[in-house]
Amino acid sequence: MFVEVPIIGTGTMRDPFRPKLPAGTEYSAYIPTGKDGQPVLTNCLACIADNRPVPSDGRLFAKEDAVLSIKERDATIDVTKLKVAGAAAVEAIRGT
Amino acid sequence: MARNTLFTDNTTRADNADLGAVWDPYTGCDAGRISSNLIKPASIVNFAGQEAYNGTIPADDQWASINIQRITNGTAYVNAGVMCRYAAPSTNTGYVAAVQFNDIFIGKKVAGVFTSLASVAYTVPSTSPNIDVSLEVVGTGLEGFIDLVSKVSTTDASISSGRTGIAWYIDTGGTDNDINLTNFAMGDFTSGATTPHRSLLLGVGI
Repeated sequence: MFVEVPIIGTGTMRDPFRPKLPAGTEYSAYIPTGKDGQPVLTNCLACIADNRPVPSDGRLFAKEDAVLSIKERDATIDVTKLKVAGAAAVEAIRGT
Repeated sequence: MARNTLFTDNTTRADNADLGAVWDPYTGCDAGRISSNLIKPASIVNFAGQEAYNGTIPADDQWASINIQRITNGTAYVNAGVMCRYAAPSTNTGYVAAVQFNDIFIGKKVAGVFTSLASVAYTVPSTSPNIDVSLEVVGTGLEGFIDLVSKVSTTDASISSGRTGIAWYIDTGGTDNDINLTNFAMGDFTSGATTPHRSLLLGVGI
């Protein structure tokens, strides 16, 4: 599922900028950064397994909301297809 | 697409404080050295270490692989892996795939600032892991492998070209023997139909 959560970290290899999720949570996140490497937003969109709880300071996105959010943050991304991988997380396939 | 190897370095050569002329350390990062036919950190001053192979700048769709002979889960945090699409050594910008004790992750460094883009659970074998960690970057798709098995993938569009190399991190309290690397390989991909690389926000742990 997609959740919008705060970005934490200091930007080092030891403490990278990353989505604020419970320790051990597997994720794939979309975190745009500027030329200085700093995140341009305070929140990010992360995909986590459906069986994980939505973080208390996070917000659940429907997949359609997620696509709209991704496009809003980076108009160059061409999301053309969505599918559900197995019974769990959503996968977005980029256009070529 | 299949990997097309352009360069390999089995690190079998005499001990040397430098990896060799085809390797470039990065400004603000620790360099590597050759010791007992392995790559080890030459120092632990900056904690983050990086070296890029400068002999061939591959096509934008590229890959890099390194064998991790040793990664010590001691008193200090460590990680080790490979980098792709890295800028010249004065600019610390590119993609990294690396393992740490409990996961394999993909991230990007921009101007030396690191952002983790994806993380999937993985337990590094406690002794003599002897694992090949590799990263493929195809278009905006980033995919991390262990022993050629896909483990983690994501998408990022911020870095389009550059060099390949190796990266590691040894935190305060670590030693230069905490990470031993060998068998670096890099290249591009054989031509053919372009696979729409798996991409954006790929579900994890499923």
